[in-house]
Amino acid sequence: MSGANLNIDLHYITRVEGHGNIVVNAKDGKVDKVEWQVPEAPRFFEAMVIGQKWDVVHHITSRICGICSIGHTLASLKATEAAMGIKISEQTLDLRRLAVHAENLQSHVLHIGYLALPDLMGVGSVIPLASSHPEEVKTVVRLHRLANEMSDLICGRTTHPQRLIPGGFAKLPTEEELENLKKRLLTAEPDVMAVAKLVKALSPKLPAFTRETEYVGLTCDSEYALYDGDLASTDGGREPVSKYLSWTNEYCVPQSTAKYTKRKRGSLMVGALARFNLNHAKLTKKAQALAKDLGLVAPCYNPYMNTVAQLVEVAHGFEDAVSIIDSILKKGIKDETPNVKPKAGKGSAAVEVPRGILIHDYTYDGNGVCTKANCIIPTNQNHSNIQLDMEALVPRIIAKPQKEVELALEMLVRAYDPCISCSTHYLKVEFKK
Amino acid sequence: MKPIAIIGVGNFLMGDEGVGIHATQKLRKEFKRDDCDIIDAGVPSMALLHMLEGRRLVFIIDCADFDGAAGEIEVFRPDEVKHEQNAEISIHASELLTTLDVGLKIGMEMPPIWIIGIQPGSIEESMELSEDVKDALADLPEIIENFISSGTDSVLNH
Repeated sequence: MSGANLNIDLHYITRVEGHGNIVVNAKDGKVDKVEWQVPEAPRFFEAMVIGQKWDVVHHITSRICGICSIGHTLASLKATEAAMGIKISEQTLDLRRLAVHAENLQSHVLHIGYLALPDLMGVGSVIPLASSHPEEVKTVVRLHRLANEMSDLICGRTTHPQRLIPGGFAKLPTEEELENLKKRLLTAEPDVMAVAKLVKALSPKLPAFTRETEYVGLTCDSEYALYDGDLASTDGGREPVSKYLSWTNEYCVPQSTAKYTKRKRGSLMVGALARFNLNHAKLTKKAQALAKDLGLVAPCYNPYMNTVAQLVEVAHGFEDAVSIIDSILKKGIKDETPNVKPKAGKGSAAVEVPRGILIHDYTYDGNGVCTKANCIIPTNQNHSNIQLDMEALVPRIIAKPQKEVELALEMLVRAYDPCISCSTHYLKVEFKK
Repeated sequence: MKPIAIIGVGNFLMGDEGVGIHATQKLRKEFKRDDCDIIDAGVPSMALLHMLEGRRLVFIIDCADFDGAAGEIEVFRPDEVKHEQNAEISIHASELLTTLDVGLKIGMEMPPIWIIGIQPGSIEESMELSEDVKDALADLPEIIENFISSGTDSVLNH
């Protein structure tokens, strides 16, 4: 049978963060081996917060990842606050919700525009798109810039926030700054729709692959859960985040240095598609309409549609951020100085970051020194699902030419938008002369 | 926004890989010019490009392996370095040259850029610099001041 022999050994697949390998061996139409491998050297960042004081832990964890630095900061702050019984104000809650939107918009726009669109347009990177589709690339750049500026305003920085502290904010945005941000967000709607139009036109190129799995995310009754909520599953069940260990069940596999997770089935999926499948009814009306227009209907079992779900969340983020700003401005910005007294305790917390649920869990002694820490990142929660997706996908496309199989598998991994390591990116310099 | 930006990049949790961040902390205390923004960019990914826009001159301080001695400093332009001219590798939180390359190729206006590369001694989980690299930071204010005052920025570009 044509194409029934496959020997795929893709090392360091492109347009994902960090290093991941795909290995497939098939002979005479029989699949011998399918492996999603993560060979990155393991990091032990949790050990770095042991012995650190309660008011610097979130600054350290924010450095774990350049893409999810706001999420790591917020999960860290929430866990510290849970451990010490610290309550936050409604204003702090609203501003943190804006911070989550800023990060999701930064990351989703980057993934859709720079990493996923090249696949759909049949090119190797965003660079050829700058020549063939300059207006579309400029639109993506504009949206990305706005998300960065939103982060600058709320968090004090584009990455690695400074203003977010235990109990509140070190510095607050002014009402005028929030008014200006609102105007900018409102004017961005045509840009969001332009990207949506492009994705819709290209969406037939997304592989029509489905595999039902368990979708896990935060959920809450009042809104599309991003900043806060209980753990929930499409297989049923809803529990507070403090029960997270029975939802993650980390385990090791021979082909990966990263830990895998599972719950009721062999794997689970977190991220935009999981959130959509769980909480689509709580999206803004415009985001729901966009989902319908893009053919994204819950429950969706096609992992390639994760990119489309991210786009729907972009529309939701812009609209919901405007609502949050309206709410803050209606009440007026109040000067609030957190007054926190550290105490012993244990606390866990979760935030929905671009790739899924990010969990932090700390134990503090009476001096506010961290004595124990655990951090579970979303990409690790998705590894087992990527593996099982590959095992299901390869037999269905085994007759295709090897290059097509390789592309389908690479696109599958990229759809999950994995962030395997944000550790080192130093320059290897070789001068031309 | 000030016309000159001094941007430190790198991961603060990975020893000398975070030298750019340590450098900005030092420069904030010791390098006083009204026309300079000193930016701790961390691991900025493509957001770095938006930090460059509208500047007259940019210095980017990063950990760089040029087979020198630990703590050795090389100042160079991006176009002086061999680099694969594509964005096939990760651009999600990419290394510096790829990010700059993408910015140029998608038509963003780029200011003259000098990369201040510092040879690492140790890259492993730590929030401290190795001794040689820590000592090297003492030279940075003078290096940057000399570049600015010599007016070399006016003739630099890619």
